[in-house]
Amino acid sequence: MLKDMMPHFDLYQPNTLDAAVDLAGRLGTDGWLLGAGQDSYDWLKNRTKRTPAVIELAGIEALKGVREVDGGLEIGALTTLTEIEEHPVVRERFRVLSLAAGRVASPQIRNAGTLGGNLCQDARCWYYRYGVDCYRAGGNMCYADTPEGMNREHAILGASRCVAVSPSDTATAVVALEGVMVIRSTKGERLVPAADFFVQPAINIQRMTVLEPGEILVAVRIPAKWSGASYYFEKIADRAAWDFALVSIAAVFVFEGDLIKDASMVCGAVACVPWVLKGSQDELRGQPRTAETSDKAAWAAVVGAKPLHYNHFKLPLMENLVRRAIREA
Amino acid sequence: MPMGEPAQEWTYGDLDATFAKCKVVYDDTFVHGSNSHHSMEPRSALAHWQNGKCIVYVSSQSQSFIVPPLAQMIGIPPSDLVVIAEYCGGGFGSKGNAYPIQALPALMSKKINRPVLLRISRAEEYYNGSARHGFQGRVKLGFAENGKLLAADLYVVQENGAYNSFWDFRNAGDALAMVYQPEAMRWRGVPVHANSPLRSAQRGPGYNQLVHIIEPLIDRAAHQLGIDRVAIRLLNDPVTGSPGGVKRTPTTSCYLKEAIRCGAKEFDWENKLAMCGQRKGSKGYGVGVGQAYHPAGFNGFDGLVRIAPDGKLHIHTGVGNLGTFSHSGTSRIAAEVLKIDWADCVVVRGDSRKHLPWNIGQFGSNTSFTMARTNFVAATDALNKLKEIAAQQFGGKPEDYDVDGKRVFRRGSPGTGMTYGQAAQRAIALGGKFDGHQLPEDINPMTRDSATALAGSGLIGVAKDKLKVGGETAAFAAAFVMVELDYETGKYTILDFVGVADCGTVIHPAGLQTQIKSGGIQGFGVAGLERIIYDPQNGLPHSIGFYQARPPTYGDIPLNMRTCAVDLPDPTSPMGTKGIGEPLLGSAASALLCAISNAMGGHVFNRTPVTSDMILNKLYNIPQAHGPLQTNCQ
Repeated sequence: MLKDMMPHFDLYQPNTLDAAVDLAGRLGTDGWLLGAGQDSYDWLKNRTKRTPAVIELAGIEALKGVREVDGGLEIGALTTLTEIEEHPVVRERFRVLSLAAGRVASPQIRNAGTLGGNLCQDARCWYYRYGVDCYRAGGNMCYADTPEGMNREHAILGASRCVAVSPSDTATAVVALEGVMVIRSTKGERLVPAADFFVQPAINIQRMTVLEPGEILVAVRIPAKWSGASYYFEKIADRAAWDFALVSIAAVFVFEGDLIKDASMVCGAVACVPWVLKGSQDELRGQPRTAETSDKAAWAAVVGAKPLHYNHFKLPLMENLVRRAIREA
Repeated sequence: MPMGEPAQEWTYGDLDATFAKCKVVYDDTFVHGSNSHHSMEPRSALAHWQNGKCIVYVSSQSQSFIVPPLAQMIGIPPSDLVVIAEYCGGGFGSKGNAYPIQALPALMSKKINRPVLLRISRAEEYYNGSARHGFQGRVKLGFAENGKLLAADLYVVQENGAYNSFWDFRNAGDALAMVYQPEAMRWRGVPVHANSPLRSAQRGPGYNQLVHIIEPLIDRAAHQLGIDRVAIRLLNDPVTGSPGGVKRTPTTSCYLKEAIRCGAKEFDWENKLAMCGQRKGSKGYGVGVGQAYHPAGFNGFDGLVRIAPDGKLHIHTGVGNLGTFSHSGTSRIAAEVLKIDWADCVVVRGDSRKHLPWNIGQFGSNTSFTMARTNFVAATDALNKLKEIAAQQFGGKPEDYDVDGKRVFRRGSPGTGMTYGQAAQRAIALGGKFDGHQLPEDINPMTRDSATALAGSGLIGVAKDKLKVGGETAAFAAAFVMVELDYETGKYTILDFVGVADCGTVIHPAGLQTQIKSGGIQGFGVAGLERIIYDPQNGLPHSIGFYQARPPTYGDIPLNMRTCAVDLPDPTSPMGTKGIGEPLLGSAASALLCAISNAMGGHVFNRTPVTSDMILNKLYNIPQAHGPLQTNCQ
């Protein structure tokens, strides 16, 4: 099959959100939404996925920029990762998101790549990207979850047939900050909590998000709740740049003296969705910030984990990142 | 490890008797992973035919060297082939010789009588661009109480991919014999075909894989015997004249001990060593020293220079351009012989229509040695002709004359002489040997054709390299690395790096620095990052892009990479030069592997790459995911 050659498609370049919504509604599954193309171009140029039409959103100014709303923020879906990393209000009040945006890929990709694109990117499972007929591609098997499958980067939690992981660095931070996704379609606007935006394979194995055909993620709202909270973000990857996480963690805390009043912790690259560490959060609330508390939270984080042949290392790594987040925040 | 009848083997010394007197003996299996060449420029090629000649634009490290084999692939005489290879965006050994993709557009173009471009994608580069040979093997080492390596027994199984390829497995044996100088040694090897893309030579083929495996074991012996890790290397290292390989050929020069001492001082080995073993929070330090070798003594190629009537020196070089610009670095030797400013020199290269001599390809760490000799002999021939012409014009004997400032003049009477331009015009008038109409009998037909094409256009200096040879001329290198290992994540940060080259006389300091640093970076990738993975059940390749195969990024290297050179001449090179490029990778990779091992209390993985998951598994007592000799899995 011919590869590495952009195929033909109809290109639409709307310059207003209304026009884009109309187009998306009209084209439905035939309309591929394009942000900066950091994920899309791989699929299209490699011809692993095809589309009759592409709706390029880059010309819509309303989808760009960071705005302060009710003590929180509304970040346009087409805001670049570099702008989020460097935005003074994001840095001052929601630092965990700034740090997460700053660890995506490489400076060149962050200069072009957008928040919406980073959140909505497809699974990075190398089998799926290769174009095999796996569950996620509509087939009836998982190539990674086999006795000889090369599954070092894959899921240890929440898998259901597919063992791909959520690759987004910013998703962990947005979920930890209890962000809300603003979605537009011809039916109007709907708001979806970030934690519910990402779809587990048990619910829909061919989707990473709840976005329906014709829907556009237009903004992410970060509520004031965690403004100025203590924070921690760390991404462990093979390489310092241009790599996806082996495990990442985004966490925010409210401390009162030595006590942990509240905590929100999310791990990336351990499950198909940003994995909210509910058990760990429960262990932490109202407890002193001690090594013993950290241990309990770390152990709670991996409850239910089922490592694959090549990724047992993710268990101590995930536990240690939980301990570090509590210790270093 | 199953060890059947090897395809090849050699032995010197009494192996059993020597092992019997060893204080410490290790017997380990090992795996060295394969890794892609990661050439930035994929190997696309374009060809068309014109007036009976085939013109090809290729991605090649080499220029003249590929003309005969590529012509053979296309089915035409070398004289009917035009090769244009002005620039090359990386080859690392995979584009050293002619390869079939260069010939395919030519054959297609001949059929359809149209220009044909074969475009190779990034993913295809990972299939047909080849990769380093992976090793599975077993090594037995025996040390005396003082740390001297007395006996070595090496068995290497080489992964060939689907085709016959390079002889890394043999080189591994030669490297062990040379770098560690065991009293007795046996080498056995067998290359095996595998259902995987082709393999080929990659920077330090076999020589580097060997030191990546052995250097950590040297550290283990040092630890067990209570010897400093620098000291045990100084004890075992070869010196000038030390024998190598089964033929026990002596080295023409070897200053590896000097490189180790120089590096240890620059690195501040003693103080950095003292910092290790103490844990600060979740982190701790490790230091490592590594060393490597690569033979680089090719000779017998031709040199060709021309002094034009305008007085400029045209240096024709067919070595190619791997990206190191050593075509110019080595051409400066001709300028030095003729004492002419570099601004008055023209380096002629990149297109076989420019009348290039028969030169070695740019591979095997040979350029600075081999091309120093060819440019020296050609320039010396031109120098002799200048003096002869001057003696004819002004009287006396040629040896009465000297050159400088683009003039040839009588010693003691600088006003008696002529400019290079005038000498070139005189050469054209004289004809014969002076302007290329009469040529040496022993030069290669390619050089003869090129010199003949230039005949009558200036003073021609042309000669075959018949300078003194004898012994093995080899490059050596040492490196020092300090890492900070995070015991909670398995990740390490390279804090410091010092690379030292024993490359003979340094002729291009900036170029050498770049070589040492880039070799170091490539070594960091081989040791800890780069991966070629296949799904064994379905034969699917995982690593078909940069981000999957994972060569190091700017964030994976230390900010301050320091370099030094021993800068002592090799006696068989007219300018003292010898090889440079290949052992710089091996020494850096070895130093990193040793530093990781040091930070982990001396644990040796006996395989590369050492990835963060392996480190975590070891630290947390999790069985390693890979099987004992499993390859292409990490």
